[in-house]
Formats: sequence, C-alpha cells, structure tokens
Amino acid sequence: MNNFSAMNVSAMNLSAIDWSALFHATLPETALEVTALLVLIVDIAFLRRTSHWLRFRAAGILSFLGILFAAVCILSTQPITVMADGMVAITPAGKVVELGLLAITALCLFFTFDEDFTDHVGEFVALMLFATIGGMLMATTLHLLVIFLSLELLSLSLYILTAFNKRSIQSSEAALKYFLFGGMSAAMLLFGFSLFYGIADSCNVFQIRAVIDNAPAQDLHLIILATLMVVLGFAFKVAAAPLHWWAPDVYQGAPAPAAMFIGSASKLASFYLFWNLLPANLALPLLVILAAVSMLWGNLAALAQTNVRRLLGYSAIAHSGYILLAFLGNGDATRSLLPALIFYILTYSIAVIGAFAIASIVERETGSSDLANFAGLSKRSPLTAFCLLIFVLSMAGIPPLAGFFAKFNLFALFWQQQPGLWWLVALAIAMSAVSLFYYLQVLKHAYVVEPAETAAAPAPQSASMLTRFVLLLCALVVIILGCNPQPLLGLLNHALSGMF
Amino acid sequence: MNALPLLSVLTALPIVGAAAVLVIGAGCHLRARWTAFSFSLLSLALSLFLWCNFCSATGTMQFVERAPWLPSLGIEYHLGIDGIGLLMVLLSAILVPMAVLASSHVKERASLYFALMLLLQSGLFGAFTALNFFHWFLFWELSLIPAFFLIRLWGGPRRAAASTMFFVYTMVGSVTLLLSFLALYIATGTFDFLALAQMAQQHQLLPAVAAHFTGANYGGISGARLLLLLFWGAFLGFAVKVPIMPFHTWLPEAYAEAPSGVTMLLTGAMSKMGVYGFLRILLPIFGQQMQWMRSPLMTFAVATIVLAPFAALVQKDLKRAFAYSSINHLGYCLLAVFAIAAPFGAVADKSSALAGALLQMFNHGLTAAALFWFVALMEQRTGGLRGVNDFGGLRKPAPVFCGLMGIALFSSLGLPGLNGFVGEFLLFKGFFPLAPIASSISLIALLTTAMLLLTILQRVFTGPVSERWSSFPDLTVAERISLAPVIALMFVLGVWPQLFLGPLAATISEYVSKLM
Repeated sequence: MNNFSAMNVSAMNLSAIDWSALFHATLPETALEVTALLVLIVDIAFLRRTSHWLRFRAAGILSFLGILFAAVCILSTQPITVMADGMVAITPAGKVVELGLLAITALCLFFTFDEDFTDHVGEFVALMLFATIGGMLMATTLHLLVIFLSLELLSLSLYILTAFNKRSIQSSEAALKYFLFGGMSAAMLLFGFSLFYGIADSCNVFQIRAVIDNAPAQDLHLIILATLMVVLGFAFKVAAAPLHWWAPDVYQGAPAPAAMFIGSASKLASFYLFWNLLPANLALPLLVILAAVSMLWGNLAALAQTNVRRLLGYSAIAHSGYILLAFLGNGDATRSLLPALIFYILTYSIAVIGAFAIASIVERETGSSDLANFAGLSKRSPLTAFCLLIFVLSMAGIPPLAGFFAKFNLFALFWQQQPGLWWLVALAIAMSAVSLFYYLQVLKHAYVVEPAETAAAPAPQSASMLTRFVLLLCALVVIILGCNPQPLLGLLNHALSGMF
Repeated sequence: MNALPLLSVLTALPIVGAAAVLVIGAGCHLRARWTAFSFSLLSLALSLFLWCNFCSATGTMQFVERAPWLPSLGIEYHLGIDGIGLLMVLLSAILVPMAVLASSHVKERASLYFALMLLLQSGLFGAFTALNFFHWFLFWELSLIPAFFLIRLWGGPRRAAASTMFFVYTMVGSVTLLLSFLALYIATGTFDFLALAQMAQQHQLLPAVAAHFTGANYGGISGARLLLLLFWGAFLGFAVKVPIMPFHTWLPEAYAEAPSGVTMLLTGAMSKMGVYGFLRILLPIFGQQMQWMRSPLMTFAVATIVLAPFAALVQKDLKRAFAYSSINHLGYCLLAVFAIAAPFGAVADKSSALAGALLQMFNHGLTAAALFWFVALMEQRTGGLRGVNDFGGLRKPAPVFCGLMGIALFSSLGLPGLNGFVGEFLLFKGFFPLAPIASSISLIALLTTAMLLLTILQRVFTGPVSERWSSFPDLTVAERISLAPVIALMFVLGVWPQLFLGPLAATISEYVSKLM
C-alpha cells in the first residue's frame, strides 16, 4: 500500500500527466470502445436487412477480435502504473480481473448466436461491450470519481440490456425495477463517496484509507455512516440480501445473454471493486449480517421457485452470501483470500452462464423456462442435459466439480483467518446442503419427469452445433478445474500475491 | 513404491469403462451390459494382481502414490492400501461384476445405467485407497451421485421418496463430517489421515485443537469438549452410511426401492464405506474420544444388532427383510470397532475381534449381495413379486435355485462350514472378553436372525406348491455359471479362512499395536 501513497501527494495537475503513458494504460478499454462503435456501424450500415443468424455472428466475431486485441494488450503491453491521483491504477490483480471479464464477455457473446429476441443486434452487442468497458475501468482505478463513473457505465448498460426484449413485458418490468433500485443505490453510494471525500479531502482510495485509519474519534460516526452507505450500495450491485429484490426479476425477465452477463461479469467487477474500496474492519459486522442473510434468504426462497431462471436468481443471492465470506478476513491476512474469491467467481460464472444458456435453449424449444418445461430434456438432447447436470452440481458444490473446490478453498481459508466466525462457515455448509434440494429439482425435471401429456411438442433442436460444443467445453472446464484446480489457483496466487 | 501407479489406474479404469459403455453401449442394452461386464472383470483382474503382489509381511501402506496436489491447502494426492483397504478393494471388484450380471433386466437406457454403476465403482475404489481427507471426500461424494440416480431412475414405485431420503441423510452426515475435518485441518494444517492418526497417537491432536479453538470466539469451550464435538460430527457421517440404529431409517426404503443390482452394491460395498471409515478414520484419529464415549457407542451398536432382526421378522417384503438383516450384520463389525477402542484388553482378543470384523465385512458383502441377487432372479421370474408370503413350495419346481439360495441364507445365518460362521466366531471370541455384557445381549440376535432366515426358507421354499408357481423356472445354465463362483467362494472362505486372514495378519497386528 505504501508504494501508492507517495504518488498521491501531488495534487491533480493536467500538465503533469504523461498522455502517452495514459494511452498505453487504457489501450484495452479504448480498443474495446472502438470495437463497440465498429459493431454498431457495421450492423446498422450493412447488415440491417439480413437475418439474425448473420447479424449476431458478425457482431460477435467482430467483438471477439476486439476482445482478443484487448487481452493481448493487457497481457503484453499494459504497464503496471498508477497515474493521475489513482484515476488509472493498473495492478496485477486488476489485470487478472480484466482478463476474466473479457473471457466472460466472450463466452456470453457466444450464446447470443442462436438468439432472435431483438432486431437491434448491433446495439445489444455494443451495449454488452460498453458494460465490459465499465467493468474493466472499475478494475483499474482507485479514484472515487472514476469508480462512480465506470460503475454507472456498467449499470446503465445493464439496465438497457435487461429491457432489450421488447416483446416480453417481464423484460421491461425487470428493467424498471432494476433501474429504480439501481438509481437509489447509486444515490446511496454517491452520498457515501461524498462523505469520504469530505473526511479525507481526497478521492484516492488509499489516501482515504490512510485518513480513516488515523481519524480522530469525533469523526467516527461520520465514517460509519459513509461506510454504511457504500456497503449498502454495493450490496445492491452484487444482489446481497436484503438489497436483492431486483435480482430474481432481472434473472427471469432479461434476455438470456444479458442475464448471464449480470450474473457473472457484473459480479466479478463489482466484487473486485468492493474489495479495493472496502474500509477494512469497519464494515465487518454489517458484512457478516449481509452474508448470513443472503445465504439464508437466497437458499430458502429458491426452494419455492418453479421457474429455473428465477431459481438461479435466488441461488445467485445465496452465492453472493458465500462470496462475501472472502471480505471478512482478518486484517492484513485478508489479501490471501483474494485468489479464493476470484477463483470462486470465475468458476461460478462458467456454471451460471452455462445454466442460463441451457435455460434459454429450453425456452426457445418449449416457450418458457419453467421447471415443468425441462421435463424430458435428457431424452430430447442428452448432451445438453449432461451439461446442465455438471453446471448445476458445480453450483451446488458437489465434488469433484469446480464449485466444490471453490467453496472448500474459500471456507477453509476463511475459517483459518476468522475462527470466531466459525458459525458462518457452518451456516454456509449447511445452506449448501439445503441448496442441493432445489438444484436437484432442476435435474429431476431434466432427467426423470416425463413431459406432461398436454404439453405441446417441443420445437426441434434449436441449439446450433457450435452452441452445444461450447456448452460441452464449459462443462469439461468445470470438471477439470474441479479435479485439478492447482493450475488456475496457482496462477491466481502468483498474479495476486502481495497486491492489496 | 511401485513404478506403475496401480491404484490410480484402478480408480481410473471404471471411469474409462463408464465412458466406453456410454459410447459403445448406446442404444443396445446387451452391448452396454457386456462392455460394463468386461470392464468390471478388468478391474477384478487388477485387484487380484494387487492381492498377489501385496506383501503380507508388513502392515504399513503399500502401493503408495504421493504427489502434491493443492499445496496451498496442504492437500496431497496420497494413495495407499494396507490389508483393510486391499480387502475392501477386492470386495468392490468382486461385487460389481455380480451386480452387472444381476441387472440383465435393465433394458431402458441401459448404457447410462451401467455407466453409472461403473462410476460408483470408481467412487468405491477411490474412497478405499485415499489417504488424504480431501481426496477421500471427493470419492465419498462421487459414489453418492451415481447411487442416487440409479435409485431415482430405475427404482421401484416409491423411488422418488427413497432416493431423496437416501441423499438427504447422507448429505447431512457429509456436512458434519466436512465441518469436523475442516476444523481439524485448521488446527493441525493437514488433511492427511496418517499424519492425523500419528498426531492422535502421540497425544498432539488435543493440544493442537485446544490451542486453536480456545478463547471467547468459541464460547470458552475446552479443547477436549470441542474434539469430542468434532468426533460426533465425523461419527454422524459414517453412522448414517453404515448405518447405526437411530440413523438407519433411510436404508430399508432405499434398499427396497433400488433395482436389485444396485441394492447389491449398496449393501455389499457402499455400507462398507461406513465401516471402513470407522476403521481407517474414526478409530485412529478419534480413538480417545471413542474410549470416553464407549458406553453410548456400545449401546448404539447393541441396539443395532438386537433390534434390526426383530424389525426384519415383521417385514413382508424379502428385500426389506434382508435390508434389516444387513443392518444387523454390520452391527457386529461396529461392536468390534467400539470394543477394540477400549484402553484395556488383551492383544489377542483385539486382534481376533478386528480379524472377525474384517472377515464379516467381506462375508456380509458377498452373502448379502448374493441374497439380493436371488431376489432379483425371483423378481425377473415372477414379474416383480418378492413378498415373503408370495411364494411357497418352490423347492419342487426349482430345486437348484432353492439349493443355492439356501446356501446363501445359511451363510448369512452363520452355519459352520460356510463363510459367515468364521467371521462371527472370531468376532464373538474377540469381543466377549472386551465387552462381556454387550456381547451377551448381542447373542439374542443370533437366535433372532436364525428365526428370520429359517422362516424365509420355510415360507418360500417349503410347503405345498401353489398352482401359480408349479412351473417356476429353475436356474438357467448361464445363471448357474455366474452364481457358481460366488457360492464356491462362500465354501472356500468357510473352510479355509486363512486364505484371507494370512495377508491381513500383519495389518491387524500393526493396527492393534497402534491402539495400545
């Protein structure tokens, strides 16, 4: 941390900024921005009258190129720097998160290929890229102003993405709820930020932390209020109970690729930002409550769901509860939880994206993603059913899948650091066992239940070969990461060691 | 040390087999069955190879494989077997081909059925060879999932409730087990069974736990109490699996509703995972706690032994009756485990009890699986009938069937000359001096079991031949050939138990000496 404080001494001074270095540092985001504009232009100018098939693929492939370029930039050229009072702060951990975001976005884009829910393909894909840019900026800044701007870039893109299915009233309803709650939480967050700025007279996160650590006693209530506001704002972003109300609706109503993105990339970016921002021990009691309530509420409410997407929404709340354990570490040792956190979110992302892709396939074949519509899936398409099995069991934390190891690792490390919170680990494990019940409900319908007599015959295979191939690939990754997590975990440990 | 990682190969072989069955057997149940059978024979051959190369002079782990797996969590890839593990591996390897043969009636989605069966076998092999908690837990859970689906998809009319109950009970046990071992890991920094056992033996476990878990965080609980709590957590996991009496209610449902081939594996091999857990994990690591809790544990075991046969007596369904009788037979093994945990007693008695328990595990696996196989054959012949009172006088139309099933019944009853006798004799010889009252009470069960099995014998085989079964088909040649090795093994073990006790001797003496 000390490396950074020295750079914060100089006040922001435009003439002092090395513009070429700034360009280098933000090259990935710039590249993605250009890609998004290109996607828009190509789609609107040339492909407007062609089929969805072609438009989604063209936009997707263009985006892949942009993503690939951005990834190469991150890997090879992007230097480790902090400049402009922390407005741009490229760190190894941030780079890992950026790469993760790019990979997740690419995966989500793959699953748009079979979609036909909108005629505005270019806008949809471009918005997804904008959201990714927002997430990437969140991972590479330590400045409250930029944090807020990038967070809003992400959020606004997501509101629009959620509303994108204009044929579905649920989509609009979900987006409206998301937007209203989001607006409120943004206000809380901004209020918290402004208090922090007032206290520390700086927007730099590290400077704020240093001031808070040595704050006089009379400032304490102010700091607590600011912390409360920030934590609640973030609890909304990651759908932690009791600020989760938007999640089930959005997961159910949003177009599948948007829901995937909200469930994975948005979480990764928000959690990482939260990690950087969190005023260490002050928020602990509040976070304990958030984690416990999320686990309980998410899992118990999921038990009663009859729609798979909504069920995934509630399970996402529960997973946020588990992930929050990573924020409850003990003082300086907390940072050793970061690899476990990122590993958890990445593996969970693969599973949740896969599950949404399958829910979307079922939706296209049978008209809805209700549990009953999954009946007979294993007969219709054994491969899809098998992939669903792997994803769902991984989310449930069944060995030897990646989800199990992610939980095991996180819980073991957390307990090691916070022996006093052993009951939270016990609760998490017990709740994981509860979650098995509703996850098995999904599998029961996919494998055991016969389709109702009255149900209309499902449409023929709507998933392309490519989609099924990608699904299988994801399933394999989940299995392999579960059996041998060391390569990825080692990589994360290596990349994140010593950072924050 | 062995150049070839034999145990890894053994564990991986059924997984490869499962994939092969899915590919080769797709759409044709015969092809699926024969592929699965070939792979199970390959596993059997490999286990026999292990048996032959097993050095019976030493009681330490053999065929050890050790490599770092997840260094950051102290998790190692650590495999090895001693006599106990070897016996269990062999038992699983023998049972799976039997179960495959007994599943000839499965025609619907047969490739998936047999693939799941092989996956289950892989879970068994993995759990019986793992020496690191993490690794072991993977396979412990891995065996659960195929079993759940086998019951859920191919089970009887009440399969939904049965499979859910099976799953929920086992999961609850797994959760407490996992918590206990996480706590041990946090206190000691290792997941390794052998390392933990050594710490316990050298009285380092309690100080380690006490040092880590004291203070206000834990409500001022003392280290000893906490360790006791951890013991109960781990105990629950195994107690459900075996099962011990108050935790057994899932079992009759699951055994009765599962297809008979799967029941053979459930009772033959999966219940042994529980007993194996007691022997490999619970007793070496929590020996002290077992001593403290000896009286309640003994009570559980005696209740299991005595009450189960009475419950079996009133069953109308052969599978449920045999299920309760299984509970009784494994109760003896547990009584032996609790008896040898005692701080007093002669080495010879403990060795005898342990040898008896091991033989009983193997014998029960073999005999119970054979009995369920016969029930499967009955079901195939009668279109699903298996009530105690559904038959009568089968002796006349099907003499060979009744003869062989009679042998299996008498073996289960413990008739001298058959395998069941040797195990039970050694058991009683061993734990009578160690726990005289408990074993005296348990003697009642011998009588009840005899009553139970003779009643079944009488109701099914003797009496007037009912019209309906006058043409009950006897065993076909193929069935006779496939049953012959199993029946022969019962005789061999009955007259020559040294065949098995020989390789186990060193392990047993090593195990008992560590207890002292």
